[in-house]
Amino acid sequence: MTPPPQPPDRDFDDEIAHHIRERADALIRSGWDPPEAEAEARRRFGDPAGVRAALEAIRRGRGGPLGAWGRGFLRDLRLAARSLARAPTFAGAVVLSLALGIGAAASAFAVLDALLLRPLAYRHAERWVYLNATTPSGAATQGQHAAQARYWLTEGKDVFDGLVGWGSDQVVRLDGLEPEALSVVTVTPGTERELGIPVVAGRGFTEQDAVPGAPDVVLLTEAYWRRTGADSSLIGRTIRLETGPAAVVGVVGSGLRFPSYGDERQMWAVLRSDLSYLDRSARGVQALWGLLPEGVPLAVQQSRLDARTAALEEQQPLPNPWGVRLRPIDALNAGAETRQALWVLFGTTLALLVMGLVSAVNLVLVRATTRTRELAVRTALGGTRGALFRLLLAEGLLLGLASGALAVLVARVRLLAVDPGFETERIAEARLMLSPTRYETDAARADLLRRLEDALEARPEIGGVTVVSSSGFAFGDPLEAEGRRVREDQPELVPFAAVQEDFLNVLGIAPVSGRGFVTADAGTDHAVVDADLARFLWGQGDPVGRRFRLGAEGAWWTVVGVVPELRLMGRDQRSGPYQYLLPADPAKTGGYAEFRMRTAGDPARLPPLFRETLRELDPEQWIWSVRTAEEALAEEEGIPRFLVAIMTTLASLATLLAALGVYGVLAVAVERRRRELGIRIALGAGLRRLRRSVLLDGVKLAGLGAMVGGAVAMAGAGYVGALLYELEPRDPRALATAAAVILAVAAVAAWVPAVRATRVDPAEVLRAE
Amino acid sequence: MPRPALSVLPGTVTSLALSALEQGGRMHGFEVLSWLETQTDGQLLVEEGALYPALHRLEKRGLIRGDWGISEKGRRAKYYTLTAAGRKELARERVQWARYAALMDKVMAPEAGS
Repeated sequence: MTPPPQPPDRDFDDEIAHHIRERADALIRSGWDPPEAEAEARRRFGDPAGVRAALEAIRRGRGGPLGAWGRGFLRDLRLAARSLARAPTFAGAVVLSLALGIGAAASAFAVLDALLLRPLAYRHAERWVYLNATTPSGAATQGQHAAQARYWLTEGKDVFDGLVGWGSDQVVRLDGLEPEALSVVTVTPGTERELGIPVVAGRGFTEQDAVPGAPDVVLLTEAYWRRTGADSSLIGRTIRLETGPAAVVGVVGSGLRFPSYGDERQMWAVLRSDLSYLDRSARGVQALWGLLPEGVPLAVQQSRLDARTAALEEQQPLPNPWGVRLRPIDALNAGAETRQALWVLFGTTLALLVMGLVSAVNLVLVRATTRTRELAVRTALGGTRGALFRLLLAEGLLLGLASGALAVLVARVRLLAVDPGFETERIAEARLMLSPTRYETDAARADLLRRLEDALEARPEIGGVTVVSSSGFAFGDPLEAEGRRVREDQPELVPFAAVQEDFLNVLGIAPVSGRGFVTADAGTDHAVVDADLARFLWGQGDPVGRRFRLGAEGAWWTVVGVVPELRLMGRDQRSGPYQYLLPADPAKTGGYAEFRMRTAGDPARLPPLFRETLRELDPEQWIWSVRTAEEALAEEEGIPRFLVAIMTTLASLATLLAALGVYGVLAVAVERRRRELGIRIALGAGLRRLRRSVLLDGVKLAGLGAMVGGAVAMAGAGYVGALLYELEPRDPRALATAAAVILAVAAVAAWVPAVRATRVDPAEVLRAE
Repeated sequence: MPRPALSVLPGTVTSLALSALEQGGRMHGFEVLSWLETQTDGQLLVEEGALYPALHRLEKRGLIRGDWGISEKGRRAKYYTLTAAGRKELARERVQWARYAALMDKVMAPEAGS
C-alpha cells in the first residue's frame, strides 16, 4: 500500500528521520538503551540540516538540458499555467481581447499591403507614367484618341525614355474543348522587356513580328498556359482564333491585369508598326505608358508635354484636343475613393488594436488587485521578489503566446459573407453573343433564341427562363421627368434592359405599383422603373402613367409599373441604383442575349445545364459567360464589397472588444471598492440597488463613449461615403442603432461585475481591517 | 583486532550504492548502508551525509528509481531500485574501476627487488 504523497520538503525530513529511527533500532537491538540509542543515532547521522540542504540543492539542481535558470523558468511556466487555469474567465478574456485586436489589425494590414502599399513589380515602376487625354476643360479621361495614340507611338515617343502601350479586345479561340472567349492584349513590341515581365518559355515579340504582313503570332500569359496544362509543345504550334490562325511563340509572366478577364484568359498579340490596329479596333489603344527620362520629375515632364501639345494644337487642330495628363501608374492600383476607404480601414484597425490592448491591460490589472494576498503569502513563505517577478512574467508570456496563436486564426478567417440585402434567389444568368457569320438575320437569331429558351424550359430542374434581348446603360443623357425641371445631380450611368413579359415572374420580383409587361407592350413606349428611379424623378408620388425621357432628344417613356430593386449591372456606386426596363421588341433581335434561369434546387446546377442545352443546339456557339447570380454579384462588385465585408467583421469585433473593455473596467472598479461595498452591505444597503448602480456605471460609461463615437463618426463620415450604398454617411437611424447596440452590450458586460459587487462578504471585508 | 575502517574514496559512493542495489534488490537508504557494512565487515565507512545525496543524485540521473512505501515496521520509507540505465552504468563503472585499480597497483607497486 502506498502512502499518500507529501510535499517534497516533507519527503526529505521523512527520509532522514526514517534513517535515524532505523539506526536507533539497530543500536537498541545490539543492547543500547533507547534514549542513548536515539542520541547516538543522531550523532552518527551527522548534520541533518546540512544533508537536507544538500538534497534540496540536488532537487533544484544544476544540470539537465536547460541549466538552473531554464529549469526554474519551466517550473514558473507550469505554475503560471496552473494559476491561469484556475481563472479561466480572466485568461479567456485577455487572450480574446489581444487576439481580436492583433488579428484584426494583421488581416486588415494584409489587405492594405496588397492593395495599396506594395510597390508594383515593374522595372522602373516609379518612373512609368500613364498618359491620359484631357477634355477641353482640362480634366483627364481614360485612354487617348486614335490620333493622339498614333502620334505618341511614333514621333512623340522621343520625349520619353521608353513607351509601351496596349489595347485589349475579346477574341474567341475555336480549337479548345469549347469555344472560349479570351482577352487578347495587343502590345507594342518589347513591352515585356521594358516592364521587366519575364518570358517564361519561348521568346517575346521582336520587331520582325511587328512588320505589317508578317504572320500572326501570340504570346500566352503564364496563368493561361498553366491553366491549360502548361504544355510546352504548344510553343511553336498554331492555334485557331475567330480572326484566323496564329502561332504561339512564347509564354510571358503575369504582368498586365484586366479585371474582367484576369490573367487566366489572356493572350498577347503584337502591335504592327503601321498602327493599323488603331483603325481596326473599336476601342483602340487603351493605355499608353511613358518612362520618365532619368532624373526628370513628373511635373517637369508634364510641362514639356504641355508645350509640345500646345504646338501640335496650333499646327494640326483636331476635333479632340491634344492635351495629355500624366499620372504615376501606381495610382491605378486602386481608385481614389478606394484608397480613401482603405485608409479609413487602416485607422479602424489601429483603433481596434488599441482597444484590444487596453482591454487586456484592464483585465490584468483587475487580476493583480485580487492577487495581492496570494502574492503576499508567497513572499512570506520565502518567495523572493525575483521569483514573483518571474512568475508574473511567465503568466504574461503564456497569455501573449496564446493570444498570438489565436490572432493568427482570427487573421485567417476570411470575410464573413455580407448579406447583399436581398435574396440572390436560385437564379443563374448566361450571356451569349451570337456568331454573326452563322446567324446573319434577325429571324435566324430569334429562331435560335426561341429554340434555346424552349429547350431550357423543358428541363425539369429549371423553373423559369426569361431572355433579356439587350441591356446596357444610358450614359450622359440627363433623366428628365415630364413637366419637371431637370435635376443637376444626375447619375453617371443608368442601366436598362429590354425584357420579355415573364421577366419579373421568373426573377420573383413583384411590382410595388402598377404592373409588369404583357405581350401587348411589345414595341410600345411603356417602361417599368425601379423604385429609386421613380423617387429620383418624382419623389414620393405614384409615377404610374407619368412620362420620362433621357436627354432632350430622347423619346418619352410611359411608366406602367414600379418594382423594388433591380440588379441589372451590379451595385457599383458609379452606375447608381436607378434602372428601368423596356419591353423587348421581337421584330428586332440583336446578337446579344442574356438568359436568366430560375431553379427550385441548387443554382450551381444551372450553368452546366445551360452549356449542355446549348451544345445540343449549336456546339460551335461560344458562351460569353454563365454563372449563378451570387457569382455575378461577387465578380461585379469587386473591391468595394470586399471592403464592406471587412468593415462589418471589424465592427463586430469592435463591439466584442467594447464589451470586454466595459467588463474589465467595471471589474477593476468593483474590486477597488470592495471595502466600501462590504461596509455598505453590512449597513444594510439594498442588494438590488447596489447591482443597479454598478450596471448604471457601465451604461453611463458606454453612453459617454457612444456620444464621443457619434461625434467622431459624424466628423469622419465623408471618408466613409465611398463604401456606402444607398445610405447617407450621416444616416441618423444607423447611428442611433449603433448607439443602442453598444449600450445594450455594455449593460450585458456590466452584469457580472454588478452581481459580484452584491456578493462581497461584508464580514470578510471588515475582518481584513 | 579489527583494522581501522577506511573512509570511502570521494566519488565512489555512487558506484557502491549502485552495486548494493544490484545485489541487494529494493532497499531503503538505511538498508543500503547496512548492506555495505555487512559486505565490508564494517571496514568501509560510508557517511550517512554522503549516502543520501548520492542516492538522490542517482535518482535524478535516472539510474535508480525511488518510491515511497511503508516499511515492515509501519513507517513511511523511500525505497530504491536499480533501473535498466543504472545497470548499464554500473557495468561501465565496474570496468572503469578495474582499470583504475590495475593502474594504481602498477604505479603503487614497490620496485621489484626492494
